[in-house]
Amino acid sequence: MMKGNSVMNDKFYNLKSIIKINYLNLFSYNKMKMEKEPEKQREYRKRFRQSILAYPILFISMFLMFMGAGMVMKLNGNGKMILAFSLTAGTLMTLFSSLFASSRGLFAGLDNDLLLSMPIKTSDIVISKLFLQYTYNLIFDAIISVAATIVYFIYNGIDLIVLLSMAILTLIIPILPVMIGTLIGILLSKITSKLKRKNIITILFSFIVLFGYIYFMQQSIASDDYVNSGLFKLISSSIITKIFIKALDFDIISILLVIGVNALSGILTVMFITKIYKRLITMLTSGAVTKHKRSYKSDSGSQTKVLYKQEVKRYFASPTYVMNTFIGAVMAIVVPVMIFFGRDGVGSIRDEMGADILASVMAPVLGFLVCAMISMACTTSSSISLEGKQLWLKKSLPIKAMDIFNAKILLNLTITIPTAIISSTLICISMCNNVFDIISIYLMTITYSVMSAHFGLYENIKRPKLDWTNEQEVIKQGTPILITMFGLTFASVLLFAILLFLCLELWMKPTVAGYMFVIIYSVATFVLRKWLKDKGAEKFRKI
Amino acid sequence: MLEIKNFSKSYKGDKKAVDNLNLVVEDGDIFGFIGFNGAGKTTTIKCVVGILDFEEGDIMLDGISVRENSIEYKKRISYIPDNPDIYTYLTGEQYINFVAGIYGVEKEEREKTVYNYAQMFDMTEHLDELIESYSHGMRQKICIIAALVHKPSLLVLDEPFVGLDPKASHTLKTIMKDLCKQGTKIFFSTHVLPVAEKLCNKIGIIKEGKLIVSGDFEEIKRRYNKTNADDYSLEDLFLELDGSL
Repeated sequence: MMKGNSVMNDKFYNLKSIIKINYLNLFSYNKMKMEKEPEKQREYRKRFRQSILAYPILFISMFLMFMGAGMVMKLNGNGKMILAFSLTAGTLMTLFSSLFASSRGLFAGLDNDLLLSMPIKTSDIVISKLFLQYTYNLIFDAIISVAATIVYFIYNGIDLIVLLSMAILTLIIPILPVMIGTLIGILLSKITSKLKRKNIITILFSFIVLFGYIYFMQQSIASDDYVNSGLFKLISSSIITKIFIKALDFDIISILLVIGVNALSGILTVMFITKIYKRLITMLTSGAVTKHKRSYKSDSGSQTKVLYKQEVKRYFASPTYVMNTFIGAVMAIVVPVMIFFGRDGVGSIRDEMGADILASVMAPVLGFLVCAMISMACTTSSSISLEGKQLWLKKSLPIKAMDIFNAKILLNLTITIPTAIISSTLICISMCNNVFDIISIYLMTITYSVMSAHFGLYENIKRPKLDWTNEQEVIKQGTPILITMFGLTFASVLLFAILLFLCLELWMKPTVAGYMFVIIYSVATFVLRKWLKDKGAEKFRKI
Repeated sequence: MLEIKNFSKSYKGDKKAVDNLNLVVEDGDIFGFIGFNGAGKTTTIKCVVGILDFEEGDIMLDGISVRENSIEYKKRISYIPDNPDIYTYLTGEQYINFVAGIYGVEKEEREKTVYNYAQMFDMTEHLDELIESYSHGMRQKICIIAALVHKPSLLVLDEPFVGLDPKASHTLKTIMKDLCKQGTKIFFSTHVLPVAEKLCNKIGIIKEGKLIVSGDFEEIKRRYNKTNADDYSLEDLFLELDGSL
């Protein structure tokens, strides 16, 4: 017989219940716990372990990055800057990722109708949904903060006050950017709701914000005196960072200021959204209705073409999907662009190192850096999950599973191949002076693009999540996406480092490492493609 | 009593999805809300249960306005949507407990009610299974059980018979009739006209956002001088009003 909980006379009972229900879906925890069938339970347990595993990989990546930066900051006599930097970087990341995801999470949840039809205060619904956004971001911010804190302790010794301050600040700081991101997202939804191509406008707006962010980053890296320029200057001299540094010294006023500003932003945002929540839900629903009023346009073409067109439409229908993948493509081009425009600097390095060494060492490393960024542009790793409950539609069509897979891979390549070609061209113009090096760069980036598209799909077929209530659960927090983004990159870094080391040990040109990388990843692509054709297709049918 | 007074709802632009709707569902009524796709049924239902905002008119349940006192209003209703695909990562039991908790139903009362309805719908054995593993019909049954657990004064259902097997469909009709005898009001949309004709004591037909006919079916037949036609069905009336016949 069912186990019923006793209903408490608790003012916050409804809020706690909704939050609990939302939390049960994190990492598919509830499925793992409640599934009775042993085979399925094993599968859920495996998925749970794998989704948890993505976080240590992220932690290690952050830790290694902070180790390098921490040393520079210590030499500059400002060890605490690494902590403040991590907090501000976390704030910016949260702001950016919340820009549209939070407002979508609020208004596009599948459970909205159920919750709104029950006697629950609108403010409770709003808080529960914002709290979930806060949690998603807190997980990432906490990983960044923990990595930075450990690095700080390694260079400066353990400090309990710093530890306590970091714990408080890490818990508090995601609130403000989540709220600002949500409000901007709402404002944009309101503006674009009256326009025809609202998703394109939303995406364009997102890129304006993104390029502004990259501009500051570029400033900080392109300048020789990077400590006093661009993003670093912006971060280190910003009021936020100064307050963070004071708070890290356990300055009560600064701590209270951080807590106060974040708490106040949370309260005011909840009050504002609560007032307009139903009106906005209605507005967004009406958007969906008018869409169907379009006249019928017939579509023609081959199966693959039709499937590919459908994938493209699905892609641009979701600004969250575009933003989370296109950012990788943009980042992959940013570094080569910076190098291209800073060729004078490269020229002086060339004079010092010698053109051959620069081309053979730096070019493959940069080529590999582009590959790592391409991992972030992987659309296939959430493409099966995004089909959601409509997956049956594709499964029921008289087409081969591989045709469906090809369409998804093709979409991925539409983004990553041009990215690879542009980046490679810029690197080659800036650094390479012989055909052997040039071919190596192009082959590396293109092979990696093809392989990562296949790997993403492989991951998503193995670990699909169709029961999402909000698409960002699979676009941003999905295990396949985390494994592709961090796991594949991390494995590739290791592989490339080993290959480079081997080449240097054997007195071979480092470009050879690039060619070996191409061979290994071509074989991997072949193996993955074979898997998709046989086992993947079978698994797809069983999803 | 559910009173929908001068209710209008527009989406984008000036086009009204529902235009000046007036109807009353009294205690013990089973009201069938009928119309073509896009006629305004779901919009009306979503406004009745407080999901959507509306511009004109008011919707009152037992004297309580959905606009002015929505929490008190919603405590008295239950809504069963046309798409039961929610929280599929929960078990049936977890989902029912969540809904029952929100409505403040105490443990003993909830156990008794759920046991009763779960038996009726042959769901007792499946309550501890994940909703994900349920068929569409089973999901619909879980939604129905959860909706009935707090004994609502008004039960609102959007296409409730879609996906239910004949036995479950019969069980639901029996439950609806029993609830109606106890004074519960039932307001539901359907395309299954023979069911509406047999089950409902009142019907309303909506066309392009306007209620074109409403009331007791026999009375409507009288209004249209069809009393002598024994085999004149609700389907005939519906198609005649639409101009299809």
